[in-house]
Amino acid sequence: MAGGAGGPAAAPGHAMAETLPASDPRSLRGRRDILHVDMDAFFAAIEVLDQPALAGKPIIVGGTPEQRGVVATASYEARRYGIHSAMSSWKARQLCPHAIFLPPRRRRYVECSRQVFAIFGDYTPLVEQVSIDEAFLDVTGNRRLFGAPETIAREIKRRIRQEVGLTASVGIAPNKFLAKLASDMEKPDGLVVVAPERIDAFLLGLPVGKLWGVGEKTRRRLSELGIRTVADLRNYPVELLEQHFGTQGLAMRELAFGRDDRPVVAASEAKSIGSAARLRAILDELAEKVARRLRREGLRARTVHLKARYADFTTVTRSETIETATARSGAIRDLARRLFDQRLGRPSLPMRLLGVSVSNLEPAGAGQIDLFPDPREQKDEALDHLLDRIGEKYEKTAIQRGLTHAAADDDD
Amino acid sequence: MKVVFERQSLASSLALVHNVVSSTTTMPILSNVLIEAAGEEVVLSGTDLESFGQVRIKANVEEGGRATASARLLTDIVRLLPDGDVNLETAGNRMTIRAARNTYALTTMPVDDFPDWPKVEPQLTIVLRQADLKRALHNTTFAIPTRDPRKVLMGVLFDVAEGKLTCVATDGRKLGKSIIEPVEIIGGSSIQAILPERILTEIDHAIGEEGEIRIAFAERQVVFSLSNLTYISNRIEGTYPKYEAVIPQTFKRTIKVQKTILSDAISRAAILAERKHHSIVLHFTNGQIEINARSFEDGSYEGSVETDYDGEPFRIAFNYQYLQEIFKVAPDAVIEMKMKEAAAPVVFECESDPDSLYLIMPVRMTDIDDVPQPAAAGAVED
Repeated sequence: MAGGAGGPAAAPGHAMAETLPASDPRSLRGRRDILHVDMDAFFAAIEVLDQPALAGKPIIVGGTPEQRGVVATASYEARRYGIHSAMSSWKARQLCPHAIFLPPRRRRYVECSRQVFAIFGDYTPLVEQVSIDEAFLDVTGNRRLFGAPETIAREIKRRIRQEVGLTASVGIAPNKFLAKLASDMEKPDGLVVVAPERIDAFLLGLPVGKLWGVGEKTRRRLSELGIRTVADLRNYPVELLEQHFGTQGLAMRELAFGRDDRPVVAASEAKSIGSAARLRAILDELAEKVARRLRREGLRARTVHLKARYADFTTVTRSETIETATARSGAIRDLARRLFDQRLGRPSLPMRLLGVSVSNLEPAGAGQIDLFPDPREQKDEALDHLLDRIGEKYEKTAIQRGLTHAAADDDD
Repeated sequence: MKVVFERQSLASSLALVHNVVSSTTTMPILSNVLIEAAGEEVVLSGTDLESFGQVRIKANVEEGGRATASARLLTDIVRLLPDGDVNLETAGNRMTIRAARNTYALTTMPVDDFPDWPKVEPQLTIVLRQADLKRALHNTTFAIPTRDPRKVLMGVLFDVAEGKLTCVATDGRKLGKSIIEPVEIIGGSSIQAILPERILTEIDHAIGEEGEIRIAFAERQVVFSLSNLTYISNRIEGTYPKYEAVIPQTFKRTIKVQKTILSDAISRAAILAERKHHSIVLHFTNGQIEINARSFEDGSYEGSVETDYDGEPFRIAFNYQYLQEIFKVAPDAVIEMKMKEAAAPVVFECESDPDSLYLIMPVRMTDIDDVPQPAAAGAVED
């Protein structure tokens, strides 16, 4: 969120003055040119690119209805049936029985994504990767080199079409918030420029739900206060807004005036991959925790469950059962990773909850004995035992196996 | 090409080739059988590129030639024709099959599209009596797992050493082993090759109690040759577990059990077997075996059968399914059960076949298997 708290907007006396144009178009001081580039139905478009026979057909990339999967990306043809990302594949098939379900080919998508991002890099070093198919580019001050932001945007769109074979929608605005709104305006293959002098015309009629950070719950609460459009929000007394929503209210107000001073952070490319890596690190930690608890209780498990809740609150659970019960950190981690990598099938959505659990428990001593015990089982058991003992004696973070950190490296 | 077959022999030959013909449709030619007629013999070939099969049959070749047609269609057609002569004729890309008052016309595919027979250079060849191989397959293939991440277990190990062939299969919990004395070993003295279950099933169908079979091992393939039949299959790559090391050589207790009586009692106990490992407990005491089962959800069973056991009391737990599998495979009415400790492998042997043995790993017992149920869990909000 924009950090509007404590800004000049908080002064009640100035509330009316704020309805004037948000920034002075005559002054170029502090003005920025931000591009938001968003690939159109990225995964589905890549599938069409690779299999031209799919063109014009409703395509759904994601899990199959049989696997109780969910939609990762739907082509525009499929969206016409009301299908959208994160919908269950089962429901998608109900809406469009002749839709073509394709399993995600993450490797290929990453490859295309890299090509696209390489093009961005030709125009500015300030590229902030939001996700595999979306980025902010700060092209402020690049006019002399590459021309107006609009020229750069057209050039980027042209090159993505020619060199990668895909289309993108671009929004151009003085900040990230407006650029993102703009890119969404004329999808697919859109190009929308929000010039500083047109910010109000662009914003005032929009429903408040379009503002960053205004979800369904906040939207309903705003609606109860009679705030439905951005214009309503601007005219609402700022002190009341703060009373109802705290700092979030002030932040919303900033956005309503088209103000967003968050910089485009180039380092975010690492951060975005890092977030996948971070999920993996968390996953490894959870597996380790569960395994340690099993060992402490003197138990072993045959089934590992993975639970993931996405940003849109859809929850997916997956499980796998093995023949021989284990309490080995490595074994439980491998199973959890396999479920994470191969069975979730939604590479792009942010996650809000990740859980690892085990069932099919048995006492560590009991159970079917194996003729050829996995040699890793014996070696790791000794290591687990040692780490458990050190962990008991010292702080939990005293020693961690190397992989807990190394996990960040084997992304993709 | 113009050939007159005897229906029966053509039907059985087609069945043997059909088994190695590909069932997938990615390469249509692989669903075909290649028919080559020359002299007084017709050769039928099929392949899925993993394995190759070739059958030679005597037939009245009026005009030699080569053609390919759908293996499935040919098999179906020949199966339903009346007994007697079957006339097969080709002209251009058509194949005509006539028998009594029936005429079929089939489309063929270009012969040149059919894959070449692989060139195999054997390192070592063994000749076995078919009856011996049949017995060894019977005593081992039951132990091949239906699925296992360890690919090497998905077949039978053929271990040639010191003038003998040892066949072994195991899923890591049960094992079957059979030793055969080959009629002949040519071109070497030892080899270890893992042969996939699929080709062994075909071989098992093709062999009988009479005659010999020749098995030639190449670096990556194996060739089975019978008088009128040749199968080539890829070997399973990898190193087989060291099976000799897990078969105990000494035992503390040897008990003769009446197979049918014990098997029946185990079936009764199985109804209330512990659910996780399907385990039941055998308690050997003076003169009898007590059989106990206890399912924590449903209840328990107690029963006993008579034996001539007179050692100290001994308890051991098994997955009852493994016991029953062995009772099914073992040929004799009386089976010798050789045990060491409650956690050590148990060996089963039959008097009529001293060259074979079966083995099961027991289930480890804790204090009467008290299994707590809460699932350990960890979760974080991201």
